Amino acid sequence: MKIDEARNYHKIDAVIVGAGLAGLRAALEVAKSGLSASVISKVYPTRSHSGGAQGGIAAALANVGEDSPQLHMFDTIKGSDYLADQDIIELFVNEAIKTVYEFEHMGVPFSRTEDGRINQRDFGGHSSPRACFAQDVTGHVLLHTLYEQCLKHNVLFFNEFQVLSLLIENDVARGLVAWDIRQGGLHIFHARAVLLATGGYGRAWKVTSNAHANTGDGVGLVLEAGLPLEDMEFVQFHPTGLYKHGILLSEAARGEGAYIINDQGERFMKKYAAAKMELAPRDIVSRSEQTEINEGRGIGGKDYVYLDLRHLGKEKILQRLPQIYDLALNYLKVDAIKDAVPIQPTAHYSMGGIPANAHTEVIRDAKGTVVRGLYTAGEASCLSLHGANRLGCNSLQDAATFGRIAGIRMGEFCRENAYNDLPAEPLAKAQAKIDRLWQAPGKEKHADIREELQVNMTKYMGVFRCESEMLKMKAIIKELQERYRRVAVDDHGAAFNLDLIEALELENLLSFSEVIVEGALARKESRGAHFRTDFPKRDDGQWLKHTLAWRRDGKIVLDFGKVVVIYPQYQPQERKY
Amino acid sequence: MAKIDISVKILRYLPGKDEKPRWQLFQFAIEDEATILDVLNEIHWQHDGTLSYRRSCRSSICGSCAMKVNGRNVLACETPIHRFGTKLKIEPLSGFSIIKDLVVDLEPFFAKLKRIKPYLIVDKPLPDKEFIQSTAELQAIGESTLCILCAACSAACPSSWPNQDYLGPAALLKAYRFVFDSRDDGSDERLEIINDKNGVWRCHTIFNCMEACPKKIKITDYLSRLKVKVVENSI
Amino acid sequence: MNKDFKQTSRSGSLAWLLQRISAVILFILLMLHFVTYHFLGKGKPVNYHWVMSKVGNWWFPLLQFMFLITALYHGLNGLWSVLEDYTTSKTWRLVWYSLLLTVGVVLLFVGTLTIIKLYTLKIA
Repeated sequence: MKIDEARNYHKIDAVIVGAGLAGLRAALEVAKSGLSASVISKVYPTRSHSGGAQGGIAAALANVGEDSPQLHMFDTIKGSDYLADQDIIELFVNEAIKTVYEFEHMGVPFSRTEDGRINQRDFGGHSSPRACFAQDVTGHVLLHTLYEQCLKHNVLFFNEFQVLSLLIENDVARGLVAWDIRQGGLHIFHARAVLLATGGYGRAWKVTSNAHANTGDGVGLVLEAGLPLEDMEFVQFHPTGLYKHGILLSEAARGEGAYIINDQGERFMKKYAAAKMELAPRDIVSRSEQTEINEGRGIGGKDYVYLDLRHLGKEKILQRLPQIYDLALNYLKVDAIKDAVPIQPTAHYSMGGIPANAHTEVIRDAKGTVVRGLYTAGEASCLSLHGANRLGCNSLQDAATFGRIAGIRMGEFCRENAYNDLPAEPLAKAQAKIDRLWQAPGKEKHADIREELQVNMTKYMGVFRCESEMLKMKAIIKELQERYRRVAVDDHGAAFNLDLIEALELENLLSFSEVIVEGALARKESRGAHFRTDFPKRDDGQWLKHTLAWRRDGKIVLDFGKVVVIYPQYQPQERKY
Repeated sequence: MAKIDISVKILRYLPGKDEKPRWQLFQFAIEDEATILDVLNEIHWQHDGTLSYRRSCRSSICGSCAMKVNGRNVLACETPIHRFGTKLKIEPLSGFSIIKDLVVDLEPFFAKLKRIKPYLIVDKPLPDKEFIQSTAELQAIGESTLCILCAACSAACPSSWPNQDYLGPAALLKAYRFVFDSRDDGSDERLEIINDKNGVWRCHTIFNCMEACPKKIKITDYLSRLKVKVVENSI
Repeated sequence: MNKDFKQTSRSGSLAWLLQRISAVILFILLMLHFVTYHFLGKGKPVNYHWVMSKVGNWWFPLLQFMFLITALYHGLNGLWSVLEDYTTSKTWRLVWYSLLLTVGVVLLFVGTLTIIKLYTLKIA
């Protein structure tokens, strides 16, 4: 396939990969400043998984109870198990309030207090009602509102395009190459600035709350470009995944007062977090749940416990949590008004990702050297705002706030910098990926390899980890990577080739999963969402540092970066809830 | 949890190869709790890799997987097979051109959405904090903001089938959502756009859209309120 | 190939409003019809003679004429809105529109003649 220069070459100031909250917020900012912004997304923007977020967006508005950015800051630091960078959090909690008011002015239908202000509810790990919400569809309305604003400001959308390679040379980003999913064919996007807002990587697990699209493509591309990833071993398991499906039941349920109970009908969280109970941070609740299950107190001795909403009453459930009610009814045939809902921990949020500084500029080493023109925001990034464990409602806020900051910074960068030349043979790498899958000699099926990866990641890289199991996982990934070389796709057509896309995504899954395992093996301590049964204590002396990982000559190479601690009063201390 | 035998007929279409869409039959065993999406994944991953369809979130919020199953527009991800029994007939949404298999061309759908100015228009100065909006004012638009743009409604609308120029229920519902938002100042320009033979007036209250909506939004009711508003505005 | 919303710049609001108004009038007329013909008879059988005994009243032609106009308008306008949905070519639309208009005019003429005939028949 030859590139059609006229049709398949696009010169655009800011190219944004990903149409979730972070990508759209950045695009809006760039477009409003008068520059050309285009969003490349493998799904239609309103299909992005930001829309799956249910509970709320955190900001210390103090509309319902006493609150302040300082309190938000402390909660976030403690929630992160002290791994988060405090300069980033400080910026975040102050900008958060502005972000929410901006959203309201764009038309987000927030639920209201009696006097007509934005309503707020309790959320895990937050010491004050801080979650601004729209029923239990907060992410959905934020995403749609942002999309609407992007339409208003004429952001250019390339929907259903899969990015196959980043064009980076001499540490300067020059654009990227993407595959037109709908019609087939490669396109070159020549840009002054590129933003990676490709979301999380939860699809590496079998039991996951993540969408089919969340295959960590941006993370995989960065690794492939020879750049590092940060803190990849930290993956949050959400305590209330719908049993067997892994589909998210929002923490909003517990924010509204729902219980979690074991086989004996006991609210077991009193043993693990007596003060906060069900509203302890997610890493702690998930671990407690898994402990109950492992010790035989799952329902009927099986691998699930109950989320109990019954005492909330019909009216509150249908008014405040209608989506949760529908999900339980549709998928498990459980009427949450009358019966408790079976739940289990589910892979949910990627704390790790593409390392970046407070300006969302991607960095390429522990010293913080910047890759010029390359930016990242949202779940794909690791700034690090969430450290070892994210608090609920901080993710929508993270995506929106740092999406805006990315948009502003990219705008400035575009005004000061000309287009850099494309590398020679820009299409080569992307073309080779496609050719190999279409001409592969082997008979391996991508579906089988993906299934094995996901099942084993859930088994060995879940809530509890230990060296022997992780070594097994490492070996499995090596074997699967070997098998991937022989993957052939059935579909050789140009139009909407799902087979091809899934095979391409699998390469990313296999690539970053290895980094997750290597990072987790190296980190001989337990912190936040990363819990090792062989090293059950946090070790600040050795491990109060960020993991950076590169792929060099087929091997994963690690280095470590400093955690920014600027406030003496927020020094690491024991984490009790 | 037990396995049951099912037979699935899927309308296949490969541009350039098939002259027109054709039915293909698959027969296999699957868990009785499976959803339509599980069935499609099983076929795509195990039986025929060339089958294409859209899917993403699996939890009925992204709107990717609207399709026609045994004559009804549903979201594949949230629809258990036991709703239809062991004989399934799966085809793409009606009223759109097919790109491949179950994937239809949604460009016209989103282009229509853009035509009604689907964003809040504010002329007044912005407050320092939030606009004050009462719960009653919010409730007027609350349900309409649940729309996931899956296109099941537009694909079910008999007024849309013969006339591709019609705005269709989804775009009109979005118009309703902003016209009735207490914060919006743009209802005059929006009402002018939809006050057209191909706008709100091609809705003949057939109620198919409402029946097809996976979010159970009372679309027809809202469109009727929109018509009254147009008339009030032009008097 | 992408079909978008094509604005016609022709509002349908008047047609819609008149359709609602004519429906309400039709409903009222129907009620009047029932009351005058079926309930005011007080047990008398509703037959030819009874009906003919009413046609000379002043309200008879008025009622019938309003019936005629609203029913014709309501029916033909309804038919037109359906036909307009399913015919996109300008020529065919013109053909249908002319046909419906002709039918309307003819029926109006015939109907009016009949009402006058009945009214004057009694007088004579």
